[in-house]
Amino acid sequence: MSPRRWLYIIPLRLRSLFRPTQVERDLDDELHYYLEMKIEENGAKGMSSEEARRVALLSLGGLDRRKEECREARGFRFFGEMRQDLGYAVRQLVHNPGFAILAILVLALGIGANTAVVSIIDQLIFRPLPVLEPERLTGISQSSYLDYIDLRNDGQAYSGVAAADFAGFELWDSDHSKDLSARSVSANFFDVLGLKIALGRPFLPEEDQLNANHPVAIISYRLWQSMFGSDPAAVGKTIRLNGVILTIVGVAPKRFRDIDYSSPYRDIWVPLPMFKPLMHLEADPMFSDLFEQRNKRFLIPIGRLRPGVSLAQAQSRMRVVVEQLRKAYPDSRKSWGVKADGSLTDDEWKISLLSFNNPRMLRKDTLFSLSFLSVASGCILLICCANVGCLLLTRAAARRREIATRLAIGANRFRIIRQLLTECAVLSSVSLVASFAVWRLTLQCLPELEVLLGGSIESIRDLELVFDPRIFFLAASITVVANVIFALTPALLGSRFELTTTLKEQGPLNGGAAPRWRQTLVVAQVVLSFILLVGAGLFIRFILRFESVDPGFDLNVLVVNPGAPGYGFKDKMNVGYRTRVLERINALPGVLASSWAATSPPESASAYGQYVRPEQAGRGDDGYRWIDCNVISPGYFKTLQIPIVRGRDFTDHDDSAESSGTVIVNETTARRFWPGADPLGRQLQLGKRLGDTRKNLGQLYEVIGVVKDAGYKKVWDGPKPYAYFTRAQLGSNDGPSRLHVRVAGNPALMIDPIRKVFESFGTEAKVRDARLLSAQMELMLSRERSSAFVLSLFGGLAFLLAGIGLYGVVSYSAASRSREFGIRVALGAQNGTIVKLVIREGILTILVGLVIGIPLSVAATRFLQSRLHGMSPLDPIIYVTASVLWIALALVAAIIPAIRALSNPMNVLRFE
Amino acid sequence: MSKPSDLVQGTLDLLILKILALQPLNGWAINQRLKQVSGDILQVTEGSLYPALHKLEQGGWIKAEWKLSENNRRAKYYSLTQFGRQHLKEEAANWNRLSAAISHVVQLEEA
Repeated sequence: MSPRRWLYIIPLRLRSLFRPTQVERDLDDELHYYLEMKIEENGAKGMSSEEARRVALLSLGGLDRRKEECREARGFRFFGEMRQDLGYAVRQLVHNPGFAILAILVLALGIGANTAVVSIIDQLIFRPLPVLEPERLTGISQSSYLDYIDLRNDGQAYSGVAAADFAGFELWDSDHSKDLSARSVSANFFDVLGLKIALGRPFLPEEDQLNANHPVAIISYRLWQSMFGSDPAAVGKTIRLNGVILTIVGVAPKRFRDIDYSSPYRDIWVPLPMFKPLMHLEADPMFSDLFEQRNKRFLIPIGRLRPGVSLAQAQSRMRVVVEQLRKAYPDSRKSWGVKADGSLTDDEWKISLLSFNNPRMLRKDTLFSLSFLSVASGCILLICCANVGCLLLTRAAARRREIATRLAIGANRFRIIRQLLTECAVLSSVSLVASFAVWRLTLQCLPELEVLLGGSIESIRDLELVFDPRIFFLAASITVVANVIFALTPALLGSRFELTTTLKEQGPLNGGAAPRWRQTLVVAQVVLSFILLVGAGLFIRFILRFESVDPGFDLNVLVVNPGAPGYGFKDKMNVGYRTRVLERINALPGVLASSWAATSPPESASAYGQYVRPEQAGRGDDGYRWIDCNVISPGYFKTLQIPIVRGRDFTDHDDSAESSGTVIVNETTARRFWPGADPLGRQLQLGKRLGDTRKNLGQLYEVIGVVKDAGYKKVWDGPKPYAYFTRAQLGSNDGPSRLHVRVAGNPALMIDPIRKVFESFGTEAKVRDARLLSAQMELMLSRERSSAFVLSLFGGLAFLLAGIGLYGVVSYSAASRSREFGIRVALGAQNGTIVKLVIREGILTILVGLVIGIPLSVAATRFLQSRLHGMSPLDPIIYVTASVLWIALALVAAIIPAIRALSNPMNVLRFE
Repeated sequence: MSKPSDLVQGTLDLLILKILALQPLNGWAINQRLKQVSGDILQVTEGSLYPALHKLEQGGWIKAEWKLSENNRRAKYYSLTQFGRQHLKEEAANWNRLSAAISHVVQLEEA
């Protein structure tokens, strides 16, 4: 057909579709004109007017029949019928509000929750970096500044190599009283990553020069919005960080957060040479030669592969470069680390490349949590689908007579299937709308999910979980596919049966494929929800077990964080200052005891770990063990109420340079290092710490006290060796920065007086954070709590849904056996027999589900083992509890239909 | 749809197109003209004309407009479109070929 003719036809067709009344009226007028003419003609032949009219209608062959034929000729009927179908579907749903609401809710839950999970995964995995061609970017192993320069200058594999310091750092913005997350980067950083500066300019090449000062900064888009209200004049303004005044020269592009997947949003980027002045490290002997030593590997180089160069090619080229460097600087190749077994290392610098576009860049536990979430929500979706499937099958079975009647009076099978499909389409669209409400709601629960996702709180909160058409499409297709399956199954089952047998039978039908289908679906739901319930039970047991464990110290202690130990504060954190603060704090009414400590539980104490060994076992590097440490001031044990078992607490003398070196250990350390001997008077030797070139390597510390074990890290790890040092002796840069205060009465009332004490010293340090140890300890179980929360929520939901499904199956089959029951009662069966018959069916279904579900749960929960910290997932109590719960639910779901079956068996017979 | 049993399939369309090629007419008049030109040989059930007309209209062969009839009443007048004219030419040629072939077969001498 020629396109011109199509252009002509389409408006005609559209008119039929959109102006049906107009078309209908035209048709009416046209046929009436014919009738009138015919009547006139007949009248002229001498017929009476009635006779004339009758003959005219006859000659037309039936007015309505002709109209129908004309409508069909216009292709109008299809749309008209669709309109009818829609109206009928809506009426059907409105007449069965229970079914409609249940189905819509179930579908909305399943789809909404899954969409939320998908949008998180999408953000984390599929588009984490708004950089140009992330697949061409590679990360290179940590390097020194000079190595970086050599890598950059090589230029064979890379079109550009940028660098960033390996961890970033916090900067104190005293004007706004907040910490900003910063990273120092090479001048070509934005260029190599292919980022277009949103406002202002990127760094200039000369801002890489080490011998000059470059007090400039590029701020993040978010900071530009929050701190400057998106004011274009922000460029050129200054900002004071750690006491250094920086000029803002640019704003990073929107959505750019940092170079890696899981790090928090950075607020600010500064040139590499600003690293030392901002951190006030110039005078620090450890960092003064940071840029000159090849063994100080504090940079992560990021290279953009040259066009046509593969990752493998780049790797082999890097190997060549490293070999050259190794030959050129043989002495500098030693690393500054220690081996895992504690011996000092002569590790070679090796280079490895990582593709940036690689989900492996995500933290392992985040990936675990994501898969955990997707599996749990996928289970829910399956259960929801099975449930709605059950509902539709039950309904289809109940409507078999209706459908049979329609077939009998001439509806064709296609028409019936279309009708059922239309109903499902209506159901789908409504549940799709509802699922968006669920999606929003799930994202509201993000704080819970954040903790679950490996505690990377910042990174999840910063995800831009906005409306995404792709996700909408995904949700829509899930809904449509799910519904088409459920619509078609009953439709196909429903339309393929013998008309006569169906019409002949009385009452609801028993038999056919539908009940078996429904039972299978219910069993599937039982199995899935059983697995979820067992998972939830495991985490709940875990929490119950460890929540009540006595950590070994008093939880009613206020922990005050007066600021970062870095800038400005450090110099003032000398013994004199700290003692004066303690004096003032202790003088406050209501304060019982106070002390400084570097870390407070349940922090990961690894940052304060040390390699130590008992005495001097030999001249070699053997025998060092990594143990967790805290750096404290005298009075700490009194503050936290940790009993001193032997010996004494530190005195002010121990916390001074005059001391010859003393240490306090916990009982486990004493037992492990000096089994069966008195630890007092023994000595601990200090090993080298990663990244440390301290002079006190090998120094000996005398054990002056033994304290009871305290659950510092994770209680489930059990008691671990632990040692307490004073700051003056350890010579650590990390001063004891947390003030611990035990108060009488309400701790919250003490926060203000403590704040005033700090302010009276006029330091940059302000009280940023004060909370109770008990609140901090809650964090320890937070991830397990949120795992338990998610699993209990999903498991409970699944449990309820499966219960509804079971109820549906049992009550349907009880109803369909009502005649049988009636006959049984008539023949003298006791009520109990009938109840047993009904309940047995429910219990049997559950038992089948349990028989399949238990081994599957055993297999599935093995994957949770790493999250349970050694607790066995094969907890019989949980399996028994879950099984008992299920059987109880089966009883409840079966007892109502059973009672109903009893209520009128005779009526059923009479009705027959 | 019921079809006039005594008309070869498609011939009703051809007849309508041919009649409308002469002049635009309304449904009633087409009926009259059909009777007139074919005498009693071609019996068209009068009502079956309308579905055929609607089908032709939807196919773009003919177009309709409301006009006053000679007795001053509103009637729906059909006329050929350019596509219809083309279609008629092709269909008439087809018809001629077909009828020639059939009459040739019919006139074969029986052995």
